Amino acid sequence: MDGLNELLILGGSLFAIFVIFCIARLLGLGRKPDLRDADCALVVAQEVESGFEAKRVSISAAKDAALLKSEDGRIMLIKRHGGHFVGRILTGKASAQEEVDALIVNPSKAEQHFGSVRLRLDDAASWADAINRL
Amino acid sequence: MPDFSPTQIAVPFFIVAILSEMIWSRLRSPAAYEPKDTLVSLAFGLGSTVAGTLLGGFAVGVLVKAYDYRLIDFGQEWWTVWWAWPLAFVLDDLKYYWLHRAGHRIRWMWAAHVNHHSSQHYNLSTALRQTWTGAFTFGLLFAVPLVLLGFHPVMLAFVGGINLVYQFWIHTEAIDKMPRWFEAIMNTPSHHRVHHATNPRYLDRNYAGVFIIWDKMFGTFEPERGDEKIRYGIIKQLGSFNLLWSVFHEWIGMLRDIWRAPWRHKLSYLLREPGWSHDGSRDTSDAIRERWHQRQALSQHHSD
Repeated sequence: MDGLNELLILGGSLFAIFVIFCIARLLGLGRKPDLRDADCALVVAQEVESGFEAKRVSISAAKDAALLKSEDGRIMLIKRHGGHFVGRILTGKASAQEEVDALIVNPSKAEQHFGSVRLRLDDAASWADAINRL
Repeated sequence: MPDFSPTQIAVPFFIVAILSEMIWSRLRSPAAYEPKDTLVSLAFGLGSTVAGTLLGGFAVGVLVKAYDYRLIDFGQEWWTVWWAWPLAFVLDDLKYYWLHRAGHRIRWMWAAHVNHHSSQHYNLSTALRQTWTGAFTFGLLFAVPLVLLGFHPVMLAFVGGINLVYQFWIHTEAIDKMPRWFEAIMNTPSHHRVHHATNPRYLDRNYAGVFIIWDKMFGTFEPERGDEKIRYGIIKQLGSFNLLWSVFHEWIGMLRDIWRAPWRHKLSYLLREPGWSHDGSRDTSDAIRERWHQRQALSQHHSD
């Protein structure tokens, strides 16, 4: 009986969690931020790695992702995640692949939960080359 | 003897408070909440309760056994010794401070505690991001001295529950500062925002549970500044709403590091601070802060 009660409590809790999630959505909570310009991307880069000084910045046309290159040749990938941005410094395990209208950047196999990022860039070819040469 | 849990009783209050804060968020700060993030936080809370039920037995057994060796005996009816309750509460909060500090400074402990910091948001639902894996750390040992002193494990569980309930309301941006006297003694939303920040200035600060005085006593206090926007979360933000990855990512990373490390460094990946690496390829919070201080000093020098 105790076990059944606990299962009911668990089920009820799961239902309550789902209801709260739905209320959050119905209230329209959460905002999708944009990378408006290079300055905005630089601020995010500082959040990803304090002290990261970018000399080159390319923002995806959808303003949801960016690539930045520092003076010392390191490349940072930024993507929108929920209401914030997240980023990774790319290593030799990263790969970039050009498609018809996009550049697909994959930080590494170990970063599968971060996922690959799709960017629409004017200078996709040079970024692909730089990332694949890391 | 109290036969109820303060945290269980507080659950309806938690729900009402979260819904109220959501309405505040809708009116004042829609970005304070993100539905998927909230979903993960609440699932963390539920999972932590389940994990506690399934895995808590060992800790209870150890503490009950340790109680047999207590130095002071409050008697058969220990719960009637009124002054032992506030004393237990204060000492348990001191214990919490050190347990929490260890949770940030020892990677083994951090692997369990990182869960609580994994959100980039800071709201009441974040408070419910509690660990599922605390039973696999040595956190239990921090309670043993109090039990050996004579405090019954049930008394400690009760005051610990009150401590946890207190900490719920401080996970909010809806409250700026409390009255000065309160900010001086108690942990507050302002102090705890600093604790959840990833800004170099704020890293590994304000470990307090209820009383902020411990941080002031032990040199880890940092006040919140009005001129610096806080960024919440962890140094390497997850970038994923996958619940299981959020729960286990640091355990996986730590075990992977231990596996790959040369033998003489394996233990360091378990016991040293998060971010430590034997080849210096990663940054600890101390290194990040130190570099930030250097940049600040340099920029100050240039502006002079």
